[in-house]
Amino acid sequence: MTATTLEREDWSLPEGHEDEGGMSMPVMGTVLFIASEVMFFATLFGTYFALRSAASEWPPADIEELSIFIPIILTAILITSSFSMHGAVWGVRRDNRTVFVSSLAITVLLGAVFLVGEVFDALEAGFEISTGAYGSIFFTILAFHVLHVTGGVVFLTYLLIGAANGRFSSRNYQQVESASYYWHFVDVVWIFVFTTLYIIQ
Amino acid sequence: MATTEVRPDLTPSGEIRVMSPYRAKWLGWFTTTDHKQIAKMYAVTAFFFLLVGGTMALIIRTQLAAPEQTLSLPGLEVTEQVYNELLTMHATVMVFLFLTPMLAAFGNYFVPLQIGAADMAFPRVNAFSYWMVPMGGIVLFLSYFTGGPAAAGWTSYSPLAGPQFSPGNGVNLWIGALAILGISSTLGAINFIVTILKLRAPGMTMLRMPIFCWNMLIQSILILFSFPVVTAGLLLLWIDRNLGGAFFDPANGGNVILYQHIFWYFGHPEVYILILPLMGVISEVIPVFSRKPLFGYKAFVYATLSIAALGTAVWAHHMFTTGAIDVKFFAATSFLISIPTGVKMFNWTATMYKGKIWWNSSMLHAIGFLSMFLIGGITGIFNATGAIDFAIHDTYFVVGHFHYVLVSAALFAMFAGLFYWFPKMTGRKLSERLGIAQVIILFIGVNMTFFPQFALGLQGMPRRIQTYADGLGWGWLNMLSTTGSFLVGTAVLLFVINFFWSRKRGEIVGDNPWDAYTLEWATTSPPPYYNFDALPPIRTERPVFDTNHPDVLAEDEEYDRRVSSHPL
Ligand SMILES: [Cu+2]
Repeated sequence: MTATTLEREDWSLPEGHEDEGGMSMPVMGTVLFIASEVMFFATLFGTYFALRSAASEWPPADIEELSIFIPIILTAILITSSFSMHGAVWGVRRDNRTVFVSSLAITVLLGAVFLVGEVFDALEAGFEISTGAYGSIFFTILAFHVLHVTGGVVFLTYLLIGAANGRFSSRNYQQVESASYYWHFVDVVWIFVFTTLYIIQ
Repeated sequence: MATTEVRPDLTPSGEIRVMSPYRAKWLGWFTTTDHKQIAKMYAVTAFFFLLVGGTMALIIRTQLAAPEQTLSLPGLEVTEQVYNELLTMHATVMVFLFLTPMLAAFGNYFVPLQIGAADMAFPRVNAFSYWMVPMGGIVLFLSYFTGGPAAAGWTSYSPLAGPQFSPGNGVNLWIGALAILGISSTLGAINFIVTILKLRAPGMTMLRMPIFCWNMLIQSILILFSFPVVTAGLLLLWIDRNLGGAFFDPANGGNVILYQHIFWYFGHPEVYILILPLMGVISEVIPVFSRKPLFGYKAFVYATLSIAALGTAVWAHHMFTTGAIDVKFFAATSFLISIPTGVKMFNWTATMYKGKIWWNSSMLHAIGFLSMFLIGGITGIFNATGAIDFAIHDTYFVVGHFHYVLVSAALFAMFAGLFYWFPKMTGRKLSERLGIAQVIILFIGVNMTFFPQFALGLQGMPRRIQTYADGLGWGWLNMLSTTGSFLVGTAVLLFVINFFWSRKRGEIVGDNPWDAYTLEWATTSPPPYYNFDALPPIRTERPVFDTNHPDVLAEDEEYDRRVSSHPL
């Protein structure tokens, strides 16, 4: 049996990579970025429960219970926007530009409405970030969620402008896919925010 | 025959271009997205901050050399306040502006080369990650011009770092700098993970990947899961300081222990973030200079994975004396880490066993790493033992312990890597004579600096004190430690001299002077900006060695065939 020998002549510049297929690089990068964001919000929620478990009264006696009316509407808006975002990806995958652009536009619109509602509702809370540990964590979690939604809306608007000008197709939609993962993530964080700050208060 | 062929990879005089030809050279440094150039910028920045942080260390050591003194330097009187500022800045600079960027430099240069890729996955994000490092440094040092830097230690525990006890801008800028550097590291980590998972050359399966890349991968995962946590914690501290928050203010429902939990949830994995890539460097150097493959490649990979996994469940061993945590649980998980760490030590020594050891500066530095890491590791077991920790917590024993790991071991590993890879980066060798002088001075220096600190700690000398009383008998040990620290400084300066001398006059050595194993040695020295014009077939984790020594590969395959065809 002849054993393998390798010579310099066997060297070549091979095409492609060992791991082809699967997630594309931009999407994988986005997923990893979201993983780091999960750790960030996990720290904030961990802080919430650590403070809560050590408190004798939560929320403190002088703080009125929050109305969950507006947050429920906001939740509905954001969940709807996740579906429209999904629709946008569905559309671009099939080169259905009508569905793609209109779904993206609806998502941006719903995101903007949500943002206004979230900020408005937070300002109506009746206490402040400096009102003890309860106020601090309440507004910190909300503020960071608002920041993330804002980032999402800005990026989606950028994509929408591109889409309206004919960018993206079934062969080029990594940015749209990445944006959709990010948007779903922001949505899921809101579910936690809603449950923690409003439902189980 | 007239050649009119355009060769963008060659200079007009026919030499291989190192930089992209499409940009002017000086502009190139500011606009480059080439991983090798970015790596060099990381390395230069890191080395600059090593000199800054090292100078601070020497001032601290000089202040402590004799009892009951307040050192007066031109323009600087080391009062208690100044001392606290120095120790805070020294630690912050060394951890976040020297060691972290230095590892990013190694990773940036050699991960794409070792996996046979042309660049990182996201070159522009890579450039952005780099430029955030000098930004972070500037923000940190701005504090010297806006009322004095942070002085609450690198841990910045609340309430010490809170609005009441650290008024002024120092801690705010410190938080800002750490947030910037944290985001830089996180983006860098994402880049490394995607690069390693997606850009490996055909044939390079995960288990044929060089150990250095494995360690960078696992380090990046640790960064991804720990830096965002401390960034969040520091933002909470910032809110406490600037917006009237009460997270860490017990009078208003806050919790000071919470800060410690958040900090150390990051702080302990940070130790592995700093040491894993250096273990990777050592795992490249020792096999090449022992002329053997790494002993127990797979065991090494699994050991690294389990160190990372266990490393996320030990953080509270820094908080034994708070009385607020389960000492037994965290002592047990901390002890468990010594098992995979021991596996690695065993692998390295077993690699050297019966090898034809090549006693050059790189290998000597690597052996220095092994011995220093052993001392650092063993004293770690003392700290992790609850009962002992109550006696030595916050003494110089702890200072000695973590400096053995993060200075002695880390410097030896870094220099081992620099001596090993300098020929690849420049085409020239560093001077061996200066290198051997350096390794000897460094070895004496670090041991003289940090070993007396164990004795001082056991005698009860607390850390973070500006001076100490005469008559405690700590004077001579401190003097010894200070003398040693200047030897360490000398060794580092020797390297700087060696670097500048060898860059111009070092021996020209060609593409693969060490007869090394991994893909970075398959290209030219220095590599062209596109990295490779050809790659060897990848059959094992040592593709370049296999090409240069076909007889050994044949023997190995014959052996494998016999073993696998044997009925037993
Ligand atoms: Cu630790």
